[in-house]
Amino acid sequence: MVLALASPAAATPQVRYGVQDDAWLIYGPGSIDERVGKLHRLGVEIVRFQIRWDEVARRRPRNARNHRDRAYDWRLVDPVVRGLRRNRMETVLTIVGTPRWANGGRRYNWAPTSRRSFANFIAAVSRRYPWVRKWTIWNEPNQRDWLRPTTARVYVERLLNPAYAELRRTVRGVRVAGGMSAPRAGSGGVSPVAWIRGLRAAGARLDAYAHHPYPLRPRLETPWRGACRVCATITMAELDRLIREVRRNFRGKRIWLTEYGYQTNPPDRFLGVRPRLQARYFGSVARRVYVAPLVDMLINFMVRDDPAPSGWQSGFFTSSGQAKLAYRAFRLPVTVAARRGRTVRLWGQIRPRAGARLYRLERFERGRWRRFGGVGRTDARGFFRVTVGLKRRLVVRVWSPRDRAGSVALRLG
Amino acid sequence: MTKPVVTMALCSILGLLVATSAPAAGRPCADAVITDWTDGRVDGRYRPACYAEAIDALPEDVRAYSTAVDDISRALRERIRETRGPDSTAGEPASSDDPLLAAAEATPSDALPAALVWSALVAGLLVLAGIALAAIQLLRRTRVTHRHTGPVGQW
Repeated sequence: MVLALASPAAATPQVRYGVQDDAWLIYGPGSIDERVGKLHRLGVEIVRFQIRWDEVARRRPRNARNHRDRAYDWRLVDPVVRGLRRNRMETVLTIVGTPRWANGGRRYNWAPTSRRSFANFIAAVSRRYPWVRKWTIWNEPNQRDWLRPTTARVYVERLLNPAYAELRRTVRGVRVAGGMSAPRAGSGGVSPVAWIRGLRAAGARLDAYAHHPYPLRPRLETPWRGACRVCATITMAELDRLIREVRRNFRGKRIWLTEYGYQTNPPDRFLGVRPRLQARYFGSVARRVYVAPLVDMLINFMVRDDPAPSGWQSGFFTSSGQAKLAYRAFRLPVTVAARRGRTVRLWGQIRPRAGARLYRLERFERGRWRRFGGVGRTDARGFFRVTVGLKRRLVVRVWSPRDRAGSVALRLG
Repeated sequence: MTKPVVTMALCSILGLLVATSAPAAGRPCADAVITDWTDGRVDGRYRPACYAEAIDALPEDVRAYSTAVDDISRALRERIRETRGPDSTAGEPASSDDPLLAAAEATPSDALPAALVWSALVAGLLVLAGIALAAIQLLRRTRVTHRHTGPVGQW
């Protein structure tokens, strides 16, 4: 067997890999510093956190632009946002949910009646957390459960554009993402393709288009294949459709994938895939977005699985806190990038820490992991490519000596 | 505990077990459709009402973030076409084009599923048999006791 260590990736892409799990950040075990420390050890580069306007401002404030107004309740938000900053974790803030006093007494998913009320709250939040540079406006507004009336025009005129103008005025170097679409319309909603076009028609102002490309048939779809060619849905397998639509409708803008994941079975027997397959997809999707143009971030939804069966189980830990294979797979994603005859090229990343990192390959033989080849060095972002020549079938993994941890095993040949 | 009581208790427990093991009306039917769907396609054939019940029973994450509703609805439409035959839709009123309405119409609302009826019958028979056995044993015991005690004063 011949092993050739390729040079680190020639270009360093901008894509950042992160997570979102509001409940775990707010209520999880230990202190917020310990929780963020755990994310650093995982190799998380960015955290998305959602602020519920309807929960922070249950009462109408007298001076809505002043974050110190007594009507505002930041008790659940402050510890998380400040804790992320204290531990040097980049943050994306999402603002969602209308208080009853702002929409005529309706539920949180009804748009505010005035264009000013949402902009005033954005002003308050941005003054309270002036270091946050990345913002996303609302969540999955193309579905009725999240926004009514479910039209691109309402979203743009009452939420996105007022927020964009306010943030541009108050935060230096800010980047604002709009769209925030779910992968499908759902009952009474708008397909993501129609949503993107509707946003453009309504004059949307944004720096990036954000989307949640969940697989809609997770047992048939991989991050690369299984797309529906005739549908107006956009899943990860249909990423090219998203790139095409964003280029056509918002030339020059970037793409943020702000929620994604495969659930596991157990416990989700309807949508879940086997834990080993979920783990394998971490490597596969990491490379998918690495090679895709325009994509700046990929956020995995959930750190720890939801205990409720109707919730989400796409985390790195089970609901009882046990690490799934996904934990190793997120820390050290690796996948087969190409095959040619008896040659296989692996692509991967050592995520924890910064700067060039050392790694080596190991193969499983006679019941033990044995190193082969030399020690490789990643690029500054931790990415590597390595070519393996095969004389026979191999089970291999990538080992990080500094982290004393290995990736999920891959079968080659 | 006396033998008749034990017999009655055992038969009652057996009857209860039979009754409760009977499938709850509709649930396994909906579960079967959803389980069938998990590979992205409903391949089996079920009563039309099962498809509608399956859609109602879908967990929230499946409903919002998968094609389950669309796939199961499509399977229901195909099933209705199969059960009605190629020419059966000619001349029908517009309201019965709705597959969910059609499924509701296909299910008699007051009828219990056959499995539940039979289970209830068997359970009832077992309980009656237990009572009858216990009664017989009690009668025999009374006669035997009467034979052994004899007239007062013999001792």
